[in-house]
Amino acid sequence: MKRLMILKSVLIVIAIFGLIACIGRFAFGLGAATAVSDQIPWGQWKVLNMIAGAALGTCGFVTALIVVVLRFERFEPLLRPATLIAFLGYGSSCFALLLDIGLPWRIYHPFIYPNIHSFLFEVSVCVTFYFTITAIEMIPIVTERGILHKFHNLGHKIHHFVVPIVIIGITLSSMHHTSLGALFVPSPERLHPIWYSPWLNWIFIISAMGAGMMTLVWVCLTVAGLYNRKADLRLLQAAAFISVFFLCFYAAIKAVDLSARNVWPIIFSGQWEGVVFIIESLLLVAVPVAVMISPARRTSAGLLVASVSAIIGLVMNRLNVGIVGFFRTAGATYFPSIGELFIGLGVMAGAALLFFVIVENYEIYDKPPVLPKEV
Amino acid sequence: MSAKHGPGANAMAILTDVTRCVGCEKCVMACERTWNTGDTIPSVHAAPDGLSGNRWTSIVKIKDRFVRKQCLHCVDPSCVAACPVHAFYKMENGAVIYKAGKCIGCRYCMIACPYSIPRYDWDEPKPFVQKCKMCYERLLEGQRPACTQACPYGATIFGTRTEMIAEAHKRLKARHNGVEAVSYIDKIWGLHEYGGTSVMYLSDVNLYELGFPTPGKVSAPYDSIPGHYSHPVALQTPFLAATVFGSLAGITWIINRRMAAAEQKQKEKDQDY
Repeated sequence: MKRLMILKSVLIVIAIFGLIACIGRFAFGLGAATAVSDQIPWGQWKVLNMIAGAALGTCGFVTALIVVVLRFERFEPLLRPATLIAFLGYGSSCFALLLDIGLPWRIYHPFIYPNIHSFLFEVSVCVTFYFTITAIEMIPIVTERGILHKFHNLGHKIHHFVVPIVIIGITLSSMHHTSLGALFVPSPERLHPIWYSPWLNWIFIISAMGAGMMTLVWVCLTVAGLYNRKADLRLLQAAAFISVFFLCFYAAIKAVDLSARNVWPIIFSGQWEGVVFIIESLLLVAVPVAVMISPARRTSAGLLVASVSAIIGLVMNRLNVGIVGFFRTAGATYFPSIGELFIGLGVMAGAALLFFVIVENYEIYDKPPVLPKEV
Repeated sequence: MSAKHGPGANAMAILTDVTRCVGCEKCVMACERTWNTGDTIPSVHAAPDGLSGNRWTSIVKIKDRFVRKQCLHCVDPSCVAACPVHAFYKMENGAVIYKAGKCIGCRYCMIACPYSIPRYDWDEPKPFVQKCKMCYERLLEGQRPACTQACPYGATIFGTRTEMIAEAHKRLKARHNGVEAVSYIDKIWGLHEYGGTSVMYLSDVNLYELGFPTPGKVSAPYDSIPGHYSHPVALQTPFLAATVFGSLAGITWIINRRMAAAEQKQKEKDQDY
């Protein structure tokens, strides 16, 4: 329990720093708070917090697909954690977007001035609706007990419509995850050829589904460790296998894409981008696959290595597509400023704290991990 | 009125002849004066090419030539396709204009523009995107863009796109820029690139630095328009959505039917006993 207290204290400190920096961002504007520039116009908030954050939240719709639509009831214990991760992932994603755009009070403009040709329009609309759906999916959980118990009838009603809600949610997810990748399709000359692809939409959704399931595995292992619970390793192993299936699928698409555009020579030409790409691919695909085909997959340490590696690999991939791949043509580099870093980390810390609050007070895992009285 | 497809008959264009520019920056000053774009103290967030939230045109040096940089006013602009709130418009007279009242500040135009032209008011508490608008309001009044009017050397001229293309072909053929003989690169920069632009260049040095597609850089068709790269991808989305929704609904229907059938069978079995 001591570990949990220390972790929570650290998260609270980061969240407070983030909040202070947030006030600075609104008082002095984007220029003062961030290191983004005319050459690298998208920075950490948009690419890491928003794009990668949404990508790691895919476990919600993948698990819902497996359990609710395909009726693999074996995975049911993972449904609530996955839904919670999706809710928090998308919540922090939307919150980061609100900080990142220059005129946040106009956030509703995509709905009143829609440009249906724009990928970002599609992303904003689908993410808004999907976030609403994850929130609806949370209602039955949070009305079971506690202060919201008086609304439990609403929770029961929603439960009757869970299948259509889930199907709409999966459709919206498949739309905005492909569009998140397609955001970079109009930049063939500016984005480095290693990361540019006319298939970026498929590359993004497949890799996000893989890494999203690994996020679920990582969160379940971490919760088990922090609350001294026993994790169902066989179930997590099965989830990790689903993830590895998607990661291999991603690797295959990427390999075909690199061959079709004849980019392999560039990767091994000694450009630093090639080295970065190899590291990214090792983390995103090679390490998880290696763990899952070795006996280490049966241990929680093995699953931890596989999941953390895949998460870091995915975050690296998104940063590379959205920021690093533009360095060479822009003739500029980017590293987040202190304030930018703290606000971004603060958003994540806030989401993590909310996660702990919900896990400790509601039935997310089969038996709610109630904290002992003394710590 | 905004144009739909291709350069209309009324589409105007600017032709900049790099071989005639001496780099006096009178065009830059005229632009600043006309639109009162603000002071020229460079922001730390600005690029070294001179364009910024306070400057819509600038002179860059490419191989000891002076090249004027500005929005190229694409025939089918990427920014118009990319903007989620439709703040950019391609007008019938050729100008690509920006409606600040709609902008949410997502800066996707800055990512999507193949020439990296849109710039941002980084140091403003209420920031907007800034770029050349081909003096749209002046054109409506029957005037020329301020920069072309200010150029004392005729290095940047204005007319309909058809006229400008004819003039460019004439100069390329004569290998003469009207003042002296020059060895042009046999190409009108902006005639076809990314679907063509309304600001075209003649030059005796390569202008890839401006963002024109560089041969051998990516394996994609060079005449393609950035918007056209995304159109086929954008078309995939409704099909994907319909496929996902339809197949999931179908799977659910089948599973439900089978489960109901199994239940019925179980009931009959129970009754038999």
